[in-house]
Amino acid sequence: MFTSFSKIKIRLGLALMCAVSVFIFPWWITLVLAFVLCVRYRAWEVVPIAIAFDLMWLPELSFSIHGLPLATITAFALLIVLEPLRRELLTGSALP
Amino acid sequence: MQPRHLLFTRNTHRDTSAARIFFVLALLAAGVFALDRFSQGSVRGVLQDTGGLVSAAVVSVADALPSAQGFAAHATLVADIQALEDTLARREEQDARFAALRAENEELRELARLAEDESTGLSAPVLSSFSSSPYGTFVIGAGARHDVRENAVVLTPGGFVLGRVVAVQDRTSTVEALFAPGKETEATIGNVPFLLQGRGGGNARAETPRDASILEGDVVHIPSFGGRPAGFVFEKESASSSAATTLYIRTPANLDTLRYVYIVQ
Repeated sequence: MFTSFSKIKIRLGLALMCAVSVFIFPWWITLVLAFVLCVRYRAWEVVPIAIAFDLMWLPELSFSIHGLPLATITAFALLIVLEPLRRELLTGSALP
Repeated sequence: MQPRHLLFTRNTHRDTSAARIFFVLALLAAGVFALDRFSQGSVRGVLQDTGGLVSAAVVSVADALPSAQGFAAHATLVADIQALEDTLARREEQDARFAALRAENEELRELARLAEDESTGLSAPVLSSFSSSPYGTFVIGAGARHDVRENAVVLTPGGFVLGRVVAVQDRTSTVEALFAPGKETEATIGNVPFLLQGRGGGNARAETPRDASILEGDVVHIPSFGGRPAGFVFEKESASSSAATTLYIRTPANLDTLRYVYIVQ
């Protein structure tokens, strides 16, 4: 019970830091925090954070290379690419 | 240890639910971006106004915190270093400005017209760090209620072009830097036209013909911004086998310490 509560607190803390970093820290700090979240948890919350990042900083959404929502695409890529690593090596298959 | 068929069932079930959540999130992302586009940036407006305020609050708290905790000496040193860096950047900017004026004194009338235009603008605080965005954008503390309009030109205090306003919210605006990564802009040095490619952080790169008479320190002007200066050549590279010279250009202002910008309406 306690372990689970601590785990939630850590995840919540990381997600909050990641969300706040969108506004005030250099972009790579947001990326590192999203990476850590995705490595340790199946962190779907990085997607809304990435959407917020793109809405905040992307000048104009378009289909050209400079108008793509790179943060959102990266968030989905992190979730997909890191899932097998997270499941097999870091958390074990029994953990969520 | 569970039987193999049970493990398979559990994993398959987890994969299915993961795929479902993934699909829902992809729909959510598409929905939010579509909503923002069709509402002409209202979602983005709320977020940017909030982000600007959060950023301004954090900066003011960070400014106040060291002295409150008794780190006054450290804070003084940091402030001194920052002031020196600021002075140095301003000197560089003034030097570049002076070079621009000296090189183009025959265009004094045009410069006078520009100066007159610039008197119609307003100054605004920079609310976000230049390194926060990988897209080369930043937020300033002036918006629709201050009559800021889209495509307004944003200048450094020394009169060099920083970028243009791409989105206007109520109290804040988003500025896209001229030297945003990958952004291409037509520029000139003297009579030599070329294409600038932004590299972020106030830096850009360009290629000019090898025989063009361009020197380090020459000022770059942007015709689409009324011929205003935007930076200067700080390095020139030319391989003997190449027909082109590579120019490395940067904004003379120190972007890390820049607190205010000037918006020309």
